[in-house]
Amino acid sequence: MKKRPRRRKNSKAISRIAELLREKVIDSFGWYGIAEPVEESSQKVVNGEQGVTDDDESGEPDEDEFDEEEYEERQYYYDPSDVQGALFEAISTAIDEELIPGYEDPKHAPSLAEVFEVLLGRDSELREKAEYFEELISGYDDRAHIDDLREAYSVLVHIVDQLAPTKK
Amino acid sequence: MTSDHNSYLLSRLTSARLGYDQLFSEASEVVVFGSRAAGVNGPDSDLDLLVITPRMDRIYAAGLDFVLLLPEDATGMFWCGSELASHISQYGKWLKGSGEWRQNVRISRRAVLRKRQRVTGAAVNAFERWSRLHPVFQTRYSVTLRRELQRLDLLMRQIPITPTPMLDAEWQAGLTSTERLLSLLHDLPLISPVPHFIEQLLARDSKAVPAGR
Repeated sequence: MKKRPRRRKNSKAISRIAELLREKVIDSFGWYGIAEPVEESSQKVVNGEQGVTDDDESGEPDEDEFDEEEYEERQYYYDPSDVQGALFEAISTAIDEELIPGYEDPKHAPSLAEVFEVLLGRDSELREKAEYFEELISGYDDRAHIDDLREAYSVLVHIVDQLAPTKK
Repeated sequence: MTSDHNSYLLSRLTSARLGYDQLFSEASEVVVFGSRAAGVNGPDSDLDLLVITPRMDRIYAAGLDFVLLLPEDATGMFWCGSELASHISQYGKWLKGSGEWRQNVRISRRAVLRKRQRVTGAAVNAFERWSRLHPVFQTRYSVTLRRELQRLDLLMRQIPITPTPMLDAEWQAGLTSTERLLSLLHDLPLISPVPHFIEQLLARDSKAVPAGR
């Protein structure tokens, strides 16, 4: 008898978390040209890394500024901080709305996988997916490969769909 | 030390059902770097690996972070001028290969510029989201920003980046000057003059528990 309200509360929390992930995190992939019409996305891919411009603010010429390696890097690697920040924001809202039992006053920033561990259990498939998603968006040396970001987007769409299937 | 790294690597690759022998036979160099190489890791720290190999399929395994590099890129100006190359050349432990490219390593202006952009991006991102973040995430941002400023400071002085736990230890021991980090922030585009909140970030972080990278 006691477990029913808890389950109901969890299912409401899960729906709300799905909503937050959809609104805040999935939307943030638009910046990278993912999940947008092809015409828009191709332009953003060419522009490359966030905040990178061809101009060195010092105004001095850089002898190796336009070499081929740099060009390649700009096409395929991006600063993932926008999507990371969006995830922090979504989890922050979940904490503020007290959707995660035991995390009303966390002492460290919980990961999405930890949130799912609380709500769905350690062995949940979605917890593993969340861990993979976070690995993909963590990048390395400040950069994430565009293929990893595309994969992260697909994984997140799958997670959200599993949490709260879209009504058709 | 190296045999410890090998055992850990073998166990993680086995868990992920990846071939240790295949990885080593195809690679010309396998190098451990980061906190485990420097012996300042925590129990949960990942093992960071540079693998110089013609096979560029990205590898995912829990507890392992791979950086893959083509052999022809290892001696190139771009790699040898990078932040990561300077770190690995100083702190790396070679499991395979000799790392001849190390003699070409010199922190480039591009590496400094990229770090400046990274710091600017982190500061702007924090500023835009600040009011919507729970305090634990505000702390996380502040730790990230402080570490990136420390790294920028090192790069500007042509010093290889130290592993993150060493950066944290220096900060907590008061060996890194807050004024120096603030002056670096003041010099950045887009966030000059430094908003008051960034000064608060660095003040807050002085008491914060380090967060993961």
